[in-house]
Amino acid sequence: MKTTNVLKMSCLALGLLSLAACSSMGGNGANNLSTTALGSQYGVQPMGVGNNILLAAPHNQSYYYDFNMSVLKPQYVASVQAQANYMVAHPSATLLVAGNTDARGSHEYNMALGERRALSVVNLLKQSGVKSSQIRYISYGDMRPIALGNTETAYAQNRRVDLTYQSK
Amino acid sequence: MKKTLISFIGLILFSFNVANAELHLELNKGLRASIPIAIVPFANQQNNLSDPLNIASVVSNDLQNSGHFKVMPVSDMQQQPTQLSTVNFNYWQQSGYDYMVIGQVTPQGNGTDKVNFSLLNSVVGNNNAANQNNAVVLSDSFTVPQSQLRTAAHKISDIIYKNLTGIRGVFSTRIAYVLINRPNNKLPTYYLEVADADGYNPRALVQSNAPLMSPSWSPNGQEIAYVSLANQKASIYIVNVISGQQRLVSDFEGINGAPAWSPDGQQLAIVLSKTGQPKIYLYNLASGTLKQLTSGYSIDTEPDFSPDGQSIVFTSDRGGNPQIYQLNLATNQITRMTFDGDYNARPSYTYNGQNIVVLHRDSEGYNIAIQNVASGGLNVLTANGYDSTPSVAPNGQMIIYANNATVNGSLGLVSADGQVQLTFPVPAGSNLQVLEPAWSPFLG
Repeated sequence: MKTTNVLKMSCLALGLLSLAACSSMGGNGANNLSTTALGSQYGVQPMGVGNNILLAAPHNQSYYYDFNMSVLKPQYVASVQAQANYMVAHPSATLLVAGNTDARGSHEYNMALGERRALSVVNLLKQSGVKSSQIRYISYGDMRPIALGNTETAYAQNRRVDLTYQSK
Repeated sequence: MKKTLISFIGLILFSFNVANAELHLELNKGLRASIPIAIVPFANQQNNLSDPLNIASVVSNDLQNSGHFKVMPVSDMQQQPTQLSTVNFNYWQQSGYDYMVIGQVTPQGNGTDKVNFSLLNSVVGNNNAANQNNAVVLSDSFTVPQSQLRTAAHKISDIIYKNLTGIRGVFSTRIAYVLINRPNNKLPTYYLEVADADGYNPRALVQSNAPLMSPSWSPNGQEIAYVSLANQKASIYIVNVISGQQRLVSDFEGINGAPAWSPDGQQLAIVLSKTGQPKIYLYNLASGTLKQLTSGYSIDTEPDFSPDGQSIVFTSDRGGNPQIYQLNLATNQITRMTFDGDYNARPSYTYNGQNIVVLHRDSEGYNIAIQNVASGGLNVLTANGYDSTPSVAPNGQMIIYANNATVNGSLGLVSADGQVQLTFPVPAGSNLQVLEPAWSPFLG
């Protein structure tokens, strides 16, 4: 039920931001936000590609999680251990481990969920002998999606931990 | 009664050299019994109805959007008096508008305008043709810079609203929110925006190439605490809304999040995970001391102080899924508050402390709900399915929230009884996304 009474609807572009879609305001047209290019902007592997390089080390990795879960899936354990072996052998190497969630729910709760996911990787790295000083971790919660929109596909790509070498 | 109000609250916001899309309110649903009122175009302004500085237009929108008023369309006005002596009260009463507002805008030179207005009762006026002064409910005047006519209009709306509903208006308050610009093939830029409560006059207070989150207004409305994820770590900052100056509050390892001000403005409740679990701490802004309030193996986050400062509500998964708990600060006793559904988060008190507003998930998705603290009864207010971050207006009448149903998102307003709903749409097809709104306290 939407008896929209448009009280004020103008499109003001007051400077550099170009609101190219002014003429289509109020329509349901497709948006320009890419659902595929964001991952490469962050240096993150799109889902699927990672399966071929899981055991490569040193190699940036992305590990995916089930809804509301923060347990590292068994298929990723060998990959984390491969990175750990490299890190132990190369004490000057450093890693950033970043946890992410899908868009649903509360932002700050998702920050906590994203951190639990990051720690599921960090803790396995540490158990495998990597020094704490070699690892930094952060949760981005739902604030840094690589896929936009409310689709199961997008959600699945965003429930993710990114392991990124800062120095090798 | 006449007075001159030389200056309104003039917040000087640091404006980065970027444009900001203004988000304008659309009324989607307004079912309340409402007060009929006609806002007649002011003298010297009749020909400028679409001008954002048109006082009658701004006041009409303010009152209509509150859900408490039925505002006469200006196109229906066969008469447009601007002086009491020329008002034909019979016409206005016959048209069904028990109340009307007339006024004049008079240039004073040196870039200022004098704004006079009167709220009239057309029923009284029609019954007292001999003495029309009896119809005057109130009159007031302000002298303002011409660029601030909109501010004067909101002030008029506040005065009328208070007189006719008995409730303090929020038309002169502000909202903060996060705006994300995602240009194609470039990294996003995040802005912490502050705008008038009706979406006008947005300014970017903070700009970052990393996510900004969780804006929280200080009780005096002069500062905003927020979370930055810049430099691959989480930090809490406080930015002064007037000067734009920033100070770092907290950047421990792990989460530094969910800042919430104590009612006296002297402490922040924050969330830190430096011990391994996200826990709620009290940070004393003057001394810098930290006091851990919660413990254990659970996620504890999203604190909000009760208006009396005696307790804190927060989200915790200590029972297996996220629910709302109340911490008594005197006794440290923790009590579960929500039992309806398996996901309740992001609690905030209404300003009278009688209700909490939460993000609630059920079979309809993630929606905004309000729960009576005493009875525990929970009422789901929205049905969008993708809502988050509810924030209550300082008069408790409206709740602003983010609706993430589309990629661009939008901000929504819903009245605390669910009867009135409005949206601030983001231009569809743009690269912008809006989220995380926070309503300011009363200003000035």
